[in-house]
Formats: sequence, structure tokens, C-alpha cells
Amino acid sequence: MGASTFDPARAVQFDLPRGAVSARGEAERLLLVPSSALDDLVLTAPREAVESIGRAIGASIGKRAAARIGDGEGASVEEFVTQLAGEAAISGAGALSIERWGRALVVVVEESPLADALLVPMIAAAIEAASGRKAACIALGRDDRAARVLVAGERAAARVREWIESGVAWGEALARLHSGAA
Amino acid sequence: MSKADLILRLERLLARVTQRAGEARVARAPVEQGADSPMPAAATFDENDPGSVEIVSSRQLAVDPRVEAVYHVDPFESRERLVAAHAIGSEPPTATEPEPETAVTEAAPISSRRPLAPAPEERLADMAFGEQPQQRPAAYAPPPESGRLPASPDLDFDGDVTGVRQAQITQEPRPVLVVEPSEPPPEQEPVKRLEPEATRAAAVAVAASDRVVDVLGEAQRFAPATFAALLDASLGL
Repeated sequence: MGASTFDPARAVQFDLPRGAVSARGEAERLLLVPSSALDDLVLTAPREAVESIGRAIGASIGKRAAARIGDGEGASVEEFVTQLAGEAAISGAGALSIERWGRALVVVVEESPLADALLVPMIAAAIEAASGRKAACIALGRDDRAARVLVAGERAAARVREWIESGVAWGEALARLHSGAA
Repeated sequence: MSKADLILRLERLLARVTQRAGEARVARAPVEQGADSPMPAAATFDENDPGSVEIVSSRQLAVDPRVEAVYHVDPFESRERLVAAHAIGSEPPTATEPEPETAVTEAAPISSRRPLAPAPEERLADMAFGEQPQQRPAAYAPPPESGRLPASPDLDFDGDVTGVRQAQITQEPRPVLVVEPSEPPPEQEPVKRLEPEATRAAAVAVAASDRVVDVLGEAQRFAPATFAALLDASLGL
């Protein structure tokens, strides 16, 4: 079995006579939007609106990835991540990868122009759309290059959020999550 | 007191000891008066002729420098030396015969009388049959004699027995062993070193095929085969 690859051929279609942009496998039109406009939206729009926009972007990515993956239940981690990362790259969201911290799944997005307010719901929706499972995500930390997002259940996400807001390092928070500390 | 004074005093003491030893020898044997004798001759006296006192030799005494030094009064010196110094210039000691041993005529004091313990056989007999009347008077040990004791006869002691040996004066100087610094020291018997004798447990030979460690099971590892399994594990935290 060969290594998983992403075929970007005909992933985006630009219909110049119609002035329309679309992605392969979707009839819905896409729009090239500058990231600064999204930053202003994050600053001015309500939190629910920003979250809604982020989830919409992620859902689109996840659906396209699922179309490429085919059997989501049997797909390997590498295959799943490859297709999901490819679709995220096509959409311009950044370079996606995953890290396993024990049993915790952490999505790492490098060079993403999206703020955490948009990024976190985007990843959650993408995972849900690609896997068919309900997931809660929380931003662990962000540096100049990469942002990390924990994919967990609702209760775990809430606990980690509380620990991080209290000053606990996200690595320790993940460790506490595994130890079952309250 | 300086070192010089101390040395001087020691030398005087040595001279006196030597002189006394010489005087003792002279006392045993009659002194022969001669022209070379340093001592003045004894004056002869005839009882019948009061004028018979004549001094055979009127030679003036040569002052012994040691005598002169003795008369130097030193508060640290004892009177004994002054007495000995006077004796040096006086009449020479005449040879005296050792006094014969005299029998003890005085009676022993009562306190010195002490009964002797009877023989062991007699004690046993007394214990068995009771005290028997003394058939013989108790013997009393003579008390130790007190007072002057006769001088010991001049005995010739064996030097090998007493440990005193006549010093042999040799005219020839002793050979001195000169050891050159470059020469190696004479070989000596090497000092025997003590070596510990250790006893240790015999080493156990372990072959590569020996299973020393017994491992039960395998360590738990999380390696989900699918992304779904990984996602489920994370969602289950």
C-alpha cells in the first residue's frame, strides 16, 4: 500500500466567463476573501457570528476531505490527516497536522491567517464533517508559527479551558486530563 | 646556669668519683711511699720518744688544681664535696683490714620474735587428732641484724655471672665504617609484607541463553490503527 497522497488536480475551479470559483465535488460557489477582512469581522462581529463563520469554513473543508477519504471508519490516521490537510491547504487555512499527546488528539495548524476565534470552530467542524462525530475543541496555545487545538469531548474541553485560564500550562493540562484530576 | 657551668660541674663530679675509686684501691693495699708519691709521707710517732716525731718528707704538696676548684664555694654544691676536699689534703688513708665479723651479743627484742609455722604434716596431725602439746619449743627466727654490718669480703666476682665485664682498653683505634653515599646500603632481609587473603563468592557464569529476567506481558501502548480510533480516544478523555 503506497503512501497516502493528496491529488490537488482540479481541486479548485475558476469559471472565468461566469466569474465563479468553486471546489471540486461541490456546486456551492467559493469566494476569495482577504484575511484582514476576517480579522475585522472577528473584532467587530459578535462571538456567535464569528463562530458561525468559522464552523462554515471548517464544514466545507471536512466534507471535501471525507469525499476524498471515502471510508472514514477504516481510514488510517495518515490517510485521514493527508486528505484533511490537503483540503485545508486548498482553502488557505494553513498547513494542518496532528499530534497525539497520550490519548489526546491535538491539531496543529501552521501559518494560519485565521484568529483563534475562527480557527477553533473551523477545526471542530472539519473533524465533525470528516469523521461524523461530535467534537469540542479548545485552543491550547499559539506562537508565531503554529496554533494548537485540542479535540476532546465537551467536559474535557471545559476542564482544560478552566486550567489554562487559571495559569496552568497546556502540556500540564493535558497531563492532568489523562490523570483524571478534577 | 649556663652550659659551661654545667659541664664544669659534671667534670668535677667525674673527677671525684674517679678519685674515690682510686682511694678505695689504695685503702686495700698498703701504700708504698716513694719519691714519686704525690702524697706526703705518714708521720711516724714513737711513744717512748716524744721527739721521735719526724716528718720524713717535707716536700711541699703540689696543689692539685682539682682541689683548688673544689674549694671554690658554690651555693649549689653540697657540703659533702667540701668534706671530701678536706680529706684530699689530709693524711693519707692507711690500709685498714676489714673488721672481722663479730658475733651478735645483744639480745633480740621481743617484738622480733616470731613463731614459725609448723610443718604441713604437723598441721594435718593437729587437725586430725587435735592440738598436741608442743613437744618442742617453737623456733623463733632470728631477727635481722641491725646496726653496722661487716664489710663484704673482697670477692672476685665472675664478670660473666654478674654482667660486669672488665673494660678492655685497646690502644688501636676502632675501625670506622665509612659508607659512601653512592654505594648502595647493605642488603637487608626484606620485611615480610602481609597480604590479605580475600574470599569472595564465586562468579556465576551467565550464558547468553539464560533467562535471568522473566517478563510478563507487554507494556501498554496506544497506537490506534485508524483516525476514528484516535478520535474516539481523544473524545473519551
